[in-house]
Amino acid sequence: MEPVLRVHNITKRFGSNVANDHISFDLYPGEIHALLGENGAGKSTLMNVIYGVYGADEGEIYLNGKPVEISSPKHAIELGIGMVHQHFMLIPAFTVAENIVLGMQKELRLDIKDAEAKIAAASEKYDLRVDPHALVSTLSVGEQQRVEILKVLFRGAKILILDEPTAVLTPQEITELFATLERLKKDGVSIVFISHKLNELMSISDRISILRRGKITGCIDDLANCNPEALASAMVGRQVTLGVEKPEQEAGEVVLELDHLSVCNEAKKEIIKEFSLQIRAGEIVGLAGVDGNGQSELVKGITGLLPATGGAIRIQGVDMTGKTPREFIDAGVGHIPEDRHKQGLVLSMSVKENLFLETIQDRPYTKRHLLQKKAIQEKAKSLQEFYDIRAASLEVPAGALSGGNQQKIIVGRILEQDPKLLVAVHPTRGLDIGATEFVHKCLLKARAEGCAILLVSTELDEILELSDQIAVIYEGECMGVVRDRDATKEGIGLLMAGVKGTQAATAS
Amino acid sequence: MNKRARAMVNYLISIVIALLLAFAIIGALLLWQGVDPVETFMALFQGAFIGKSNLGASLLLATPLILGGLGIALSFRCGIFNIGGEGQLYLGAFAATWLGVNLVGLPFWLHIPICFLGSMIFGGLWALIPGYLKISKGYNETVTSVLLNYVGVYFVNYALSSFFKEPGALNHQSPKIQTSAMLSKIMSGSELNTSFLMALLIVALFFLIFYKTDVGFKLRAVGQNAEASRTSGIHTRKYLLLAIIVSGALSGLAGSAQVMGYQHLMVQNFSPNTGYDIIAVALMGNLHPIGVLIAGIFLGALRSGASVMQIMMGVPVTILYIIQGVIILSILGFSRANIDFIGLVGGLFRKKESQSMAKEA
Repeated sequence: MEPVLRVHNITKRFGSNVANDHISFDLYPGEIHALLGENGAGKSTLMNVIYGVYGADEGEIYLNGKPVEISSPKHAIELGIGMVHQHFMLIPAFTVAENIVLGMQKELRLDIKDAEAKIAAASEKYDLRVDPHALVSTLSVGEQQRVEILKVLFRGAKILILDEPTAVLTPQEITELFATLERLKKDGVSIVFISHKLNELMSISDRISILRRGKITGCIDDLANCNPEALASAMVGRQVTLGVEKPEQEAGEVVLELDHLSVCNEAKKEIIKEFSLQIRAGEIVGLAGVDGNGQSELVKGITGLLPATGGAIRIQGVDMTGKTPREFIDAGVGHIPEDRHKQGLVLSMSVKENLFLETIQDRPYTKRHLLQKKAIQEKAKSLQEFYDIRAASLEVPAGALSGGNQQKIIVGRILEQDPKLLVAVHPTRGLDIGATEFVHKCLLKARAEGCAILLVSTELDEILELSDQIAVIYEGECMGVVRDRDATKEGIGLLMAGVKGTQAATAS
Repeated sequence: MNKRARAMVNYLISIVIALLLAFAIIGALLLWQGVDPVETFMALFQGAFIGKSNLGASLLLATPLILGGLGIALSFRCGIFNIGGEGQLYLGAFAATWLGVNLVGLPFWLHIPICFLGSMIFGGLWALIPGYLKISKGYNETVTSVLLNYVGVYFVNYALSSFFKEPGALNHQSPKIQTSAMLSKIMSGSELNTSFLMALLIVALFFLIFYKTDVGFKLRAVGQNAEASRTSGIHTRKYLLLAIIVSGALSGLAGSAQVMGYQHLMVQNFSPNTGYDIIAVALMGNLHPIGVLIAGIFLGALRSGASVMQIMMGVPVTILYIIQGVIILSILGFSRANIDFIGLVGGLFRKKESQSMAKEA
């Protein structure tokens, strides 16, 4: 059988940096070919070359055996190559149908009725259930992704590129996505699947190519005789042991106490209802729950970003209700926010400046309001070394760094303040193995030093691995707190779905 | 070359190209009208820089542009689009004039600061209205500040034709301010006065505060990403309010500097469009204090040169607005496009080298 897509000896340089170094890659009809690699390994560059965003410096691309020169994404779409980006390219104020036909329109007049009918038919055909009349802003993340896939298929794509498609999905949505991909595969659609989540790749892919530092370091056909550790080692280029070592440790006194806390969101709607929880020193409490069940609001309540509308927050016995975010920070609350681009970093400011967002006004970095260049430089240098922040220099904008290194800036500057309570929200979301491992180690180190930690994550595996206790949030309420050794995945899953009772959590 | 220096050089090159483009367009217009462009530009240049009186006039006209431009740069840097400079400037000038007229018997060292302070307070409070509405209610400050311009300008014009009118004067104008509120001249044969030195001082202060203090650090952080700043414990609202008040206060100073410096009384429409020109200055100066200083002097020189040009060549002053427009559009265009001129030129050389090498081979 001839490959639908064959990439031969592609090289792409950015200045002196070789992002893709003589890469060859092929894709057969009806195949899911995964591309595995750490952040910065060159996955996105390769896909952008195939999608016509970048021109390659060397090498050829063949479609169905014929050499092609792909000049633009528009051209790629015409050739039947479609890409679903990690960050969706949808307009929230438009309906599903409007989003799908956007940019396809050749005539001036838009027959939206006709388009809606066609989209409904396509949605039926591919079994991608979406309502063409619905506004995109009303859809869940999983549904939006379906719209993106449908959009690409509707334009006649035979080759589908999915960039980190599961990064934003809940476990249920991932299962659904995989079912969809299996069906598409049967219809003869070929799929390139980019990810760094090993278990997931092994369950969905036919073949896995591993990319490291711009080179293909291996292509695995025989997935049955392959284990995640071997894959991880091939991807990182050194021996990796998956899973972390968590020593037994006695918890100390109560650091955070939530007493029937209620919190409203920005739109004044009560999201958190009478939430009670205690976290002790030297203890990690995992907050499990399906995304969007009030995690963000709870965290904002605990960090002073949203005011409590009822109940109380006490930190080391001191009532913090109604205090400002600054007072929470001064009371020893560290916050690794869920969205590092929006909440964690000022992307256009330098790495150095981002390391001091909380502490800039403190001695010795500022004296009589004047910034102390030398003290700042020295501290930044030592933080960079200690937290292994890889950047060309401390002066480059934070936005120029990879996700893992951006997260290290935040983790570094927060832990440096010796928080009594650390609120870590999705601390490893979108990070590769190396960076994830690093962040986990940092959390466990803080735990060993007696920090109380609230770990918010939608990835149950991460919570089970790190937590001493697990609290489950459902529609803004605390469904129960389970000790780690009593917890089962099924039990937690039931609580996450809103089935009450601790028996549920411990039932085997 | 490091990245910052490179970006700087690229920016300078884009400005030079923008200038050449603007003068080329004007040159074509002049040729079409049958006027010698070279001679006209010489007259423009002469009127701007040659001789004490011309140079003095350029710097005099530049002073309000620099002061107001700094204010606009600050608010834009903090993500507040304060277009209300005109109203803030008029009210600032009004306050300074009123204090200058009605406080009698003060020594100059007390009278002048009081007038300046009054203009800053009025300008700042006028800017606080759209600022407060934006921060607490989410109203679009561009719209509210522009609308407040009309209220401010017409209020001042009304005052000058009624309760603040010089009795017996034919024009709608205020009484003359006391001599103790007048600024001293610093260059013989021109109206250039100490307000220009004050502008230079404020440029230096702005630079120092914005880049070398924790307050400036936080202002920059809030302007680039307010949410991350708030998450990091910065009192976002406080800094946004500070930025808009200072912005309005500087516009107010731009007004009072003109009255106290050389006009010595207020007439209706005493400084038309300055409140909008300072936006041009801020943008041309890339929202950087040093850039604003250069852009302010450039536009001031263009103004003063244009009047000489009109006298000598009969070319109307209004062409300077075409120059101004073309320059701003090209600068914005170039800075958006982010062209790497150094890389381009370097690339050309490399290509030639490789071609000549290929020929030799």
